[in-house]
Amino acid sequence: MEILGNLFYGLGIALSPQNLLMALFGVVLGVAIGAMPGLGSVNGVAILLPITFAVPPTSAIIFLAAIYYGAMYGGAISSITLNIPGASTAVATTFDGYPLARRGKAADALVTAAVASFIGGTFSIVLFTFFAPPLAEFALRFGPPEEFAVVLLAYATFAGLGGESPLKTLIATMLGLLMSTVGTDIVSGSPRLIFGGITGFYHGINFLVLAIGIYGVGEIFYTLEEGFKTKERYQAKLGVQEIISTLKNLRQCTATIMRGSLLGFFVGMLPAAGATPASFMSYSIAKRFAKNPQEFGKGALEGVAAPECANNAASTGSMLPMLTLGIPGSPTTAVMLGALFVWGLVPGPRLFVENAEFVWGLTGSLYIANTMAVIVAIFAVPIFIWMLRMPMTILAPIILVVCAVGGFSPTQDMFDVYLMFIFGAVGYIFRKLDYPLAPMVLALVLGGLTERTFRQSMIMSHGSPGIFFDFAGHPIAAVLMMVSVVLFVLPLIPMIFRFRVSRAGTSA
Amino acid sequence: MKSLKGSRRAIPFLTLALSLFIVVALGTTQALAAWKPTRPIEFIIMAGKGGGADRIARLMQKIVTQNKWSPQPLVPINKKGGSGAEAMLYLLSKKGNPHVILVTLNSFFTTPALRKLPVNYTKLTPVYRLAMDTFLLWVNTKSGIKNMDDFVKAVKAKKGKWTMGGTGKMQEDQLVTNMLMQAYGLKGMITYVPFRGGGTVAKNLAGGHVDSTVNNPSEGLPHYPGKMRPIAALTPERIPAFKEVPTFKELGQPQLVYFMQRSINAPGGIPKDALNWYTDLFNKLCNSKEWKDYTSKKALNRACLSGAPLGKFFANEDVKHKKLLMGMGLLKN
Amino acid sequence: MQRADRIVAIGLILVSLGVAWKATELPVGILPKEGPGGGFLPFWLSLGIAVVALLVLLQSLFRSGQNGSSMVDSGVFMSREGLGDLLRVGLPGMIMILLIGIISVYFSAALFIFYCLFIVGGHNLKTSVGVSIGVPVVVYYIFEKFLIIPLPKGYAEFLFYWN
Repeated sequence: MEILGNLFYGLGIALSPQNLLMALFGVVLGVAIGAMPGLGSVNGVAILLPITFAVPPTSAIIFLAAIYYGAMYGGAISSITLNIPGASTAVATTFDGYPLARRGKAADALVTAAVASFIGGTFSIVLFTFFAPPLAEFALRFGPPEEFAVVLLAYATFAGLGGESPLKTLIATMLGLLMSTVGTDIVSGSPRLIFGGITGFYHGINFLVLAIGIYGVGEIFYTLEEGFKTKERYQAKLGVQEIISTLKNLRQCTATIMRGSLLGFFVGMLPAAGATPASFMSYSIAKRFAKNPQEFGKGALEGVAAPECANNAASTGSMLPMLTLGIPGSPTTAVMLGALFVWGLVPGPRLFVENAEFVWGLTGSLYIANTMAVIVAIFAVPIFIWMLRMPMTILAPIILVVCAVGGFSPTQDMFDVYLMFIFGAVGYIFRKLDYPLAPMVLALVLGGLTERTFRQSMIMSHGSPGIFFDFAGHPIAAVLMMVSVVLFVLPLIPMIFRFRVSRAGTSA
Repeated sequence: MKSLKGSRRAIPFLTLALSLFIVVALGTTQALAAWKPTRPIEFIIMAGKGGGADRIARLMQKIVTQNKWSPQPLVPINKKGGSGAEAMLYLLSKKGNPHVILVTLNSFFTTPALRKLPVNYTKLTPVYRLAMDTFLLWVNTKSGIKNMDDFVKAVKAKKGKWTMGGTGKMQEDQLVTNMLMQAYGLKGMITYVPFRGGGTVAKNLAGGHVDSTVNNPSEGLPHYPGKMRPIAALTPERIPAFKEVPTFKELGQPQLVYFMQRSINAPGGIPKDALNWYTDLFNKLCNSKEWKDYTSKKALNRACLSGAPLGKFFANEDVKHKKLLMGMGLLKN
Repeated sequence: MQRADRIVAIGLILVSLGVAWKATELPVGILPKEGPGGGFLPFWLSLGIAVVALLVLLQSLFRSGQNGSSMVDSGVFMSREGLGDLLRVGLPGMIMILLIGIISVYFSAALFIFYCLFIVGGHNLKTSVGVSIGVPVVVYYIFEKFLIIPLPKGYAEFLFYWN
């Protein structure tokens, strides 16, 4: 087994004191950055890149990968405790994580998230170790039509998870898509919907601005109205006993975590898709398979486990095309890829031969970083529980300030902060009127990719939509398209049926 | 009632804070000697994170930081909107501010012309040109195409269905594609498919989703020589890293030369001393071992240029790009 | 609540028609050999939103006589006390945001936190001053010193750079 030999070689490199220290440092920073609204793994890696200039590339990539990992764990923390997803990958974690926190089960949710992340990550690393080159070949077969089919599949799995009113779900989804078209039209290169040249619109509506706005700021508005002074936010307990009982409960999530990890790895590996669609797909599949689907959205542990194992699996998956093909599977790996170039390394099959120390050192460190991250994340739980016990009168202004800083730092543009607060107000009103917010966020995250890959495919086929159903030329795309169509139609059948019944009921 | 009482109690505190503010304000009188940055330098990148310009910027940040050439950090900030329009408008708004610099690509010329922006290179201060990135024509190795003759034949055989991948529309790659079509009489036979970044373009060629690309060498390297084959170079001389690849000049098309300039610009009206400081900084950078290593490894032309010759270079490039755009019918006089 | 629902629906119709009009700056049709143009998606999406919002409006008007099952059909949008609490923090929050570009995020945050803790929250002076100074100081060290992300400082910029 040549691979096992390489793996031990890599573990040896990763266990050197310097690399071990870099991994620990990276994981701690990553968890902190991920937990901070606004600074997800992309910004974390980009910002902390200069720190790596002093060390050799292998230690540097170990550090960056550890940040990436840590941020995935950290993102769940702010999603669960504050209902603010720090990154698009953690949006799905808010669906059940926050309701759990409100019921005083923040600790359960946090521990579940950490353990699910660990399993997803480890699963993915094992696949990464043993099958990197053949999987890279597979990823290469994904061009625009295949990518479009994957995105459509993400929407399809998510259909039927909307709010009570189908009309309002439709509006929310379309609004999200519409927001994703603001900025620059990727295909023609022209500015689009910039409303007379407002410079702040040129870079488009950043996902974080919407997410922090409607979730973070909107949540504060919501709490303010409920009564600012009187109430403590919610009770939360944490002790060794709670952790143990949570771990016991986790057994019910085993199937969910396994499905989510596998899905996460494959979706993450596909260039362009990344961890966000993976987490959404995993969530909705978990709901479909669940014995208690009505619990989802109200605080089901599976609802936390599913997106978390998937986004960690995907983050490892997205490193695969980065190393083997030189293409990023996610925005964060795009930055890491830049770092590779800064260090003078050329990704591709030759990297595995010419820079074996680098590749296997990184692989080895992934096992270690992942183990460290789960420990750090669990140890961090009491800090966040302590924070939650603070009265709202202290917590709310601090969160608002952190939101403002978080909205500013990615783009360094005050316009985004203003926009974020407008979204806060809109999100607050929408929530009161039963407009579901999740489809809006999902549509904004995936909108750009959807439109781009669709139009690229159409240009490639010279204007013929047949390219998506061409079993001979693009078999992967065609199969995925068929699956999506079936998934779209399935939830419609009972809906139409219900509609008929209710119509009959009212007219009678 | 309680809140009223509270606000009255807060007044002395606010007064204190305000007076502190004023005292500190009066205390800072700056002595001006030879210019040095006194606060972090905003290093504006007119493209997104992970792209070619972003990589170069972060490499420069690395070299400057490691050698401790600047008393203040360089802070890379991506302003990718509107194909660079956002970044250039930002520099326009920072007129006279010596703590902002911009790293460019060729949309530095095309975007202001196409979008009729109130800013172009003349409104900014040229500081330094560090490199000229080169272009190659690539095909998938499976296509069996080995030289330009094969290429032209293959394009014609596809009867207008040949696809060329490139980054963005009306930017470098499409200009090069258009030059190619004109030179070889292939007008209307190549469909240009815009992607988001050079790495994605190369991957789509390696995966067989498009028929050809005009990637920079660094973007093609991950798939070379296994999946991608360079056919010809758009340089006056052969690229050292691709010794076996002929230039278009050798193939009888001397007009097919195109470079992507990587240069540094500051807002208009910055102090002379500040310009000198930056020129000195980037001169050191351009002549550093790290920069030489990087440019040779990535097959870029290291091209150090500053002062008046740089201004002249910009003027020439600007005219050249306007002509190219007019040739494509995208720009009228 | 019902009135709010209708106002939002009308607002959505107006806004989306405006956006649709703006979207026509780029081709909204299907281009030959290229598929949808640059304005296609925003244009048809905003028209779609307008149509669906109209349906929501009609549904609300149509149902007005009956007792709906959902919260939206009954109940009040916002109680008087709720609104008061919201405005007491929301308005100063807005002012805080606007002040960021003028007196720096640090001073603006300090004032806002102090206001929320001391005046609205009724915490004692020690806690209020401590938190309102502590938070900006922590933010300063994390962002400016460690991560090296310059945050907006407005006219107070000179205070942060001495030499």
